Amino acid sequence: MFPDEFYDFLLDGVLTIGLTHYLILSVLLFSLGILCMVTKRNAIGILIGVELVLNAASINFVAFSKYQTGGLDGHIVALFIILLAAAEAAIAIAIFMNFYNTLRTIDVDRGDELRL
Amino acid sequence: MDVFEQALGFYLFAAVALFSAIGIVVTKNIVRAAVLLLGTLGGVACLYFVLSANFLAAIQLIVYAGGTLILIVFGVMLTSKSPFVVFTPSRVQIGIAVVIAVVLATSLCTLLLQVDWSATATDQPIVQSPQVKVVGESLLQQYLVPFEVASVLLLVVMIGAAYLARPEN
Amino acid sequence: MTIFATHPIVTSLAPEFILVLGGVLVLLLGLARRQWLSLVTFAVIALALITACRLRQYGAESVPQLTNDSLLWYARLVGLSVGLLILLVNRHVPEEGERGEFFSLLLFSLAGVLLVAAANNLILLFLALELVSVPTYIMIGLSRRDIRAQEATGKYFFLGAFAAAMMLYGFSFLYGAAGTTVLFGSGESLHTTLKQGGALGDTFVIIGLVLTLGGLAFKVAAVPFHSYVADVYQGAASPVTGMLGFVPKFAGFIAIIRVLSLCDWSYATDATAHNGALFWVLWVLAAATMLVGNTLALWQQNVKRMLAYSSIAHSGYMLVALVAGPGSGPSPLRNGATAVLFYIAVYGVMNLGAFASLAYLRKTGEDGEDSAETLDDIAGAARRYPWAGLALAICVLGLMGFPLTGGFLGKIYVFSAALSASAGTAGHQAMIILVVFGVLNSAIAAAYYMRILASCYLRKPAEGVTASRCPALRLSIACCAIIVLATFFRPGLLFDRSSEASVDVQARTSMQENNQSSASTATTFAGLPPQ
Repeated sequence: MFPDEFYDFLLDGVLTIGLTHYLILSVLLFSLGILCMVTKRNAIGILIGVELVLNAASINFVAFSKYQTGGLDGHIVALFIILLAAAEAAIAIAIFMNFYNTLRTIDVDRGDELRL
Repeated sequence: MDVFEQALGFYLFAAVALFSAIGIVVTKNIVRAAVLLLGTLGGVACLYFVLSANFLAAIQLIVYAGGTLILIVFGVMLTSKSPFVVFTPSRVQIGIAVVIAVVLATSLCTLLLQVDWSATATDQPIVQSPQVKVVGESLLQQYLVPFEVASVLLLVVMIGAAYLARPEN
Repeated sequence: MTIFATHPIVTSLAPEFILVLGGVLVLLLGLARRQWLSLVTFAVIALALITACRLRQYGAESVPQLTNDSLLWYARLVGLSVGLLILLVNRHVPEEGERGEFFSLLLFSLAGVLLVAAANNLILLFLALELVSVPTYIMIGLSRRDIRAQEATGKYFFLGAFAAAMMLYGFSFLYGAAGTTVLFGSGESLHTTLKQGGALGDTFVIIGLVLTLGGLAFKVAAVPFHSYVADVYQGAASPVTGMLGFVPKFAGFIAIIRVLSLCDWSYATDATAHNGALFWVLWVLAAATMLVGNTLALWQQNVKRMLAYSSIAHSGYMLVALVAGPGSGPSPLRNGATAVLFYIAVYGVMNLGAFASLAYLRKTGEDGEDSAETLDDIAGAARRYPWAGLALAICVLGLMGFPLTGGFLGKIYVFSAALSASAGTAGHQAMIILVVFGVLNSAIAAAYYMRILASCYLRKPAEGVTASRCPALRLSIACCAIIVLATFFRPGLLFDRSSEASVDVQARTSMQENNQSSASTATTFAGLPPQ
């Protein structure tokens, strides 16, 4: 029904998962992360966008590790990325808390500063 | 794992991760976005299993999906009805961002499709059984300095978080 | 040294260890004796500096995880010396209730700068860059109890997190191209693989390098990630802003030099494809950064915002020298890397001096005392406080690139290195255009610097402006002004050190046979300082 090339493509390109599949997934996650970062007004939305980009980077590292080097270097980088994500989330929360602490000490009549 | 299992695993979990990510971008509700992030993180963790990075997958589930996500949900609670707005993108800016993201994605994809992987591909299998042991050993040998710097970084975050979030005198 | 007969890692990272341990010590001491904290911090930085000098003198066993070259030595020398000045400027910043957190964060941030220079591994480079940035996020938030400062912190943090993620994504492609995370070395390293065009050809190297440079642009406040600068510089307290102009930028430029020396970065005629692409990316970044910084600075009434935009423009000037690459010979007149290293040191001091002078002038506003900010606040300051006015004038003239200041030499070096290093390469025409554009930009920039001087010297003294009584602040302002002048009249010291620093950079970049990182042959160059 289909030419032979189609079946070859199906077998090699679609069914046999290779590095390219993972890289394309990570590119898509990266672009979605950028979109999320730019379009969200809420600060947490931006943080979620950053998480998407970090995950895209981890997928790259682990996939390269499996298909290109065979070592565990990529896994270790991914571990450090997870650590970084946790650290950044903690800082973000602390920044919000500080913002509210400051907000409470400010008079109501000076609220116009908030509309920056 | 044989070819079909790999393909099934990849497409299933990649779809979970990707559609959750699309949901995050599309939704206006920030709580929903935080919940959808769980889908992406979980999908990526399962992809690590498919990539035979078992230890990493476990860590991703425990630390990332278990810990970091909780922090993010706390952040959502703190900011959902607040004046804390960092950026205010206009409609034009959002349009430009969409165009840039689409162009970036398509151009990177086409670039990636042109690369011939077979030249440098490895047959060397990833260390299977005691993966934790190998990771642990290299963290204390080859990656000792980054490991220590990471601990200093966490110390800084701890000081900073405790200090920034302290109650007002 | 012999007392601590320890692991070679501890020996070769001794100054960094001292800074980190000192940071912990300051935290612990902060629970009890608050008044001595700045003194202890000063002693820690000074001790680290002395250790670095001893280490340079006696040498350290080389460790494969770390680079041990003259650029590291330069980073230690300049980073710690300016660090001392930064500490003096910031001495009065911490509030009553704080227990040493501020100073310990400063120490951790400085340790991060040194680790960026010491990193021989993508992961370590990345973590060190984060160690530079994370304390600065917190310090900005702490420096002022003001809603604007908090929002500026938020902006800085989220943009920084995003830039870091993007850089990491770029790193993942570099890792994919080379199959290793080691930066330099005779064995398997990014440097040796990328020199041969990359295992996977140019595609990966270009994607990786462009994304990495994009992320590093945040650290140096260059164009794709410059939008935070004005708000953050205005929001943070002036002394902290002075620090922001040096610490992240210095780390960022060292990281850029490291990343660019992985590949063959000057645009040679027989070059492989990736440095052509790289050349144009950097070219556009440099031109856009200068233009954006200077044009936006022209319209400002607020001196802090003005200096913030000028800080963007200065990053643009430094990028001009980086576009050209190391060129030939270590002298800053011919070598782009040397010129940048010279410029960033002088710029750091000039900028710090300018912000310290602003911090010296106190105005009492509705929410208590604060440092002078607008052109009106500094009106006539030179009449009432002639010495502070003179120091501000010297630093601003230095930023302008006026002769008799180090800023003048810095600009000469940057532009001459850009022309000389690109001579004979395919990018020479484009470099000439860029240099002309840069010179035009510095001429435009003179206009807004003159407004600061005019307000300071020609207008009537403003009401309600007093002077700070912190002795450390006065001392630091005097030091900054003297250094800005001294770098013009006696440039030899900095000139030699920066030339020395780029010898190893150049040895890596030039396509020579010996891939071994030359053990810093400081005495081989015959370049003599001018005059």
